[in-house]
Amino acid sequence: MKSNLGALEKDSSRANAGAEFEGRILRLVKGGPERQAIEAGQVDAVMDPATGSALLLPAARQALRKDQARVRSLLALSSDWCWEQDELHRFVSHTGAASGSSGIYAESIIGATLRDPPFDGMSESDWETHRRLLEWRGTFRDLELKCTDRAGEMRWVSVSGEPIFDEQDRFKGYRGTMRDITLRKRSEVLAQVPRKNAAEGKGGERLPGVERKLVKGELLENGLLAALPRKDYRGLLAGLKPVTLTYGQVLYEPGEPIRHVYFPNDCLVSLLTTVEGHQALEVGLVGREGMVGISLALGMDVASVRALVQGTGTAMRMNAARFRKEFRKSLPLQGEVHRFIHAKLAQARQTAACNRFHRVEARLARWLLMTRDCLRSDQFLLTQAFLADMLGVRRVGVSTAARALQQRELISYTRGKIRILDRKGLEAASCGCYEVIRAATLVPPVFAALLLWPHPARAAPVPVRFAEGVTHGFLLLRSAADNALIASGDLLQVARGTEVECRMVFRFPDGSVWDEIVVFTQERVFTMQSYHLVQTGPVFPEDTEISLERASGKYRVKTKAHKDGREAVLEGALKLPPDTYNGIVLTVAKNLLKGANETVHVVAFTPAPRLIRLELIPAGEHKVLVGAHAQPAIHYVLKPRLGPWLKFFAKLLGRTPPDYHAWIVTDRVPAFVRFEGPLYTAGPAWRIELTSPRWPD
Amino acid sequence: MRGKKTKRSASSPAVTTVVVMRLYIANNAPNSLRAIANLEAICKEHLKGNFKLEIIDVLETPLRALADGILVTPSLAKMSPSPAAKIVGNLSDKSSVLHALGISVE
Repeated sequence: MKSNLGALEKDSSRANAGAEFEGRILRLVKGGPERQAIEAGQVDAVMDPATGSALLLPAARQALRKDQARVRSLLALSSDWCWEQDELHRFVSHTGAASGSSGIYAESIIGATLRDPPFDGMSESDWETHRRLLEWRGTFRDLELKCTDRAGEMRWVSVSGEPIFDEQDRFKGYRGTMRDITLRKRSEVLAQVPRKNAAEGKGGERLPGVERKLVKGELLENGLLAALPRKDYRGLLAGLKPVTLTYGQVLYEPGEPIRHVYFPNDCLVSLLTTVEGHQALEVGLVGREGMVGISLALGMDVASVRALVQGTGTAMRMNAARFRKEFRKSLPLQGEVHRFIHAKLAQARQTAACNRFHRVEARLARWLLMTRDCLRSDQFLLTQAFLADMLGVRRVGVSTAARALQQRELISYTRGKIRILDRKGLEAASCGCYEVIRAATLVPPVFAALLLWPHPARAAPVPVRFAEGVTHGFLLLRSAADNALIASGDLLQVARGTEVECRMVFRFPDGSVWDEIVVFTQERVFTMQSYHLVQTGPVFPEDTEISLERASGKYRVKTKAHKDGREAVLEGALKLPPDTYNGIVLTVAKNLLKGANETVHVVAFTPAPRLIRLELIPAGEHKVLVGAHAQPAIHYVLKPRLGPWLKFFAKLLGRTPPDYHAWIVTDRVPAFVRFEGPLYTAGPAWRIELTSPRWPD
Repeated sequence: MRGKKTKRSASSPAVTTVVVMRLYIANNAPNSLRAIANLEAICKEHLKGNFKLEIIDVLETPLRALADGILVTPSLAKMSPSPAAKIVGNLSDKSSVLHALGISVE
């Protein structure tokens, strides 16, 4: 052994490791085979229980460093930037070969999320989808976003990222790469609208009205259609026909039947109300965020307003009959259209009030901002005559107002070309109506998302800190009221590959049996896979067999009454969140950080299944005696959280579920010591404790 | 020599039980990579499809290795069939790996 140590010391010193490091390695590795392997140069790392981490030996460290350098250089070839985000998805670092040289992206990216400037162009529903993925700690690839570079030019980037976790498997944020894909996007856009570009290029003449300056990298797509789930969108696609709408074209006149609906891509349609003897007044503006022909969705097939194309561009057209059919069929389409109608109503209401009460200058600012939102462009072409129509004022009023905004350097306005210079400033100059209208456009999707994704689906599974392995525990079941022994049992746990099967059995003196089998996986997070419970015998009000599968959500509850032997079977499927932890709540509790709260889900069988939230709340420390030695145990209260309706019914029925209690010893390696609570619905509180085998006297 | 062994193992009775193993490694460190390659070769030759292998990176999940009683990496642990066995190093000594896995090659 002595000579072995010498050899090791010599090896390590050759590898330039300090004497302290060697000593540490020697202290850690006491086993013969391990030391031999180190001497033979076959070991990369040594585990250090004190720090809970792995110590790399010098040779391995050097090799990994080289490896990382290679990966870095390959990465530089395939992407433009590497970035890292904190837990709240804010950028904390953003580095890359291109960041200095090409002048893209201001330093302002640090501290911003993908939703904030300089990023742009993520619709509310896109963001919702992305945020949900982030909450689930998913990896995302090739998320394409618009963004403004330092020179104020629009660019496209493709972002990919993966979550990062620390040694305790706590979520630390995201890291990933970003590529500049502006050139590709630009060519895609050009390929998409050949007709429009050809027309512009050939004639070279400027069309009157609002004309959009095609911004480099802009994707021409209707936002309402884009917000639909892929499946629904595909269903619509066959009935959609791309058309070019030109300035001055009247799509509908009031009282005329609606033959088509239009989903603008990059054109702008104005909805006008005509009053006899006066010029038409704009009551709504539809751009890429919506559709023209909402009356159809409301069950009317005649138009109520004049729909006038104010900005030439493309749109997707669908005939009225087809739209009615698709609208009835597709729930997401109904949702999106309703949201849009709501926004338009708010816009009409607000516009009416605004035109009556607010100054022309503020109204002009509002109108420019609304147009900007519709077109998603800071520049457009329009004439004073047109603006006067839109705002319902005389032409002189418009030019005075425009001059005032220009003097405040909020816009530039030369020969019909308007450019918004300071969006924030323009918002301040506009009347409050703009905010109201915009809020009406933005808020409902979030609300809808909340309805569609109720709380359970947001639940995050609990990370694995201590993987479960083979265990055989001896258990006692006592009455919590008088501590009388009720049953004895076993906890039998085996790990097979990545799966763990955990079985808890209690045998009662009268032959009753309570037998629970849970299969779960522990890859980074705990995931319950299946749950099976059998309770038979006179101890229980009725014999019950329950099975539940997490992935499919399928459940089966079979009950048999003791009195008449009548059987009942309940079958069905529930939507189960990833943190449904039937049967392994205690395992999960062992993996919580000291003092941490956690909310998980369990399916309670009453006998009908109910998905309930279960809150694990640390409620102080107790001392337990192991031999003569006292050890601290954390007391967790497991509180079932019922929704308001369930709560109401539970109260009505007098069946509010009681709290459960669990005690976990957490000195370095956690261990379960006690559980208290009913084992079946409306049952008495029982206590599960550990015991050691005794020798019969 | 190698050819002879292969021939013999092919003629030996087929392995019917599934061998469940865990290999603990340190990312892409040289011995870890060698251990994976060595083990893959052994599994291909002697276990055919009758094995389950989980590779655990101790740099990513050190607590998992500590909980499993691992001291150095690379380490190979046979979980089942019993008896459980453990072997450390880059698994270049084929005969000791086979021995630890309970595969008899005459």
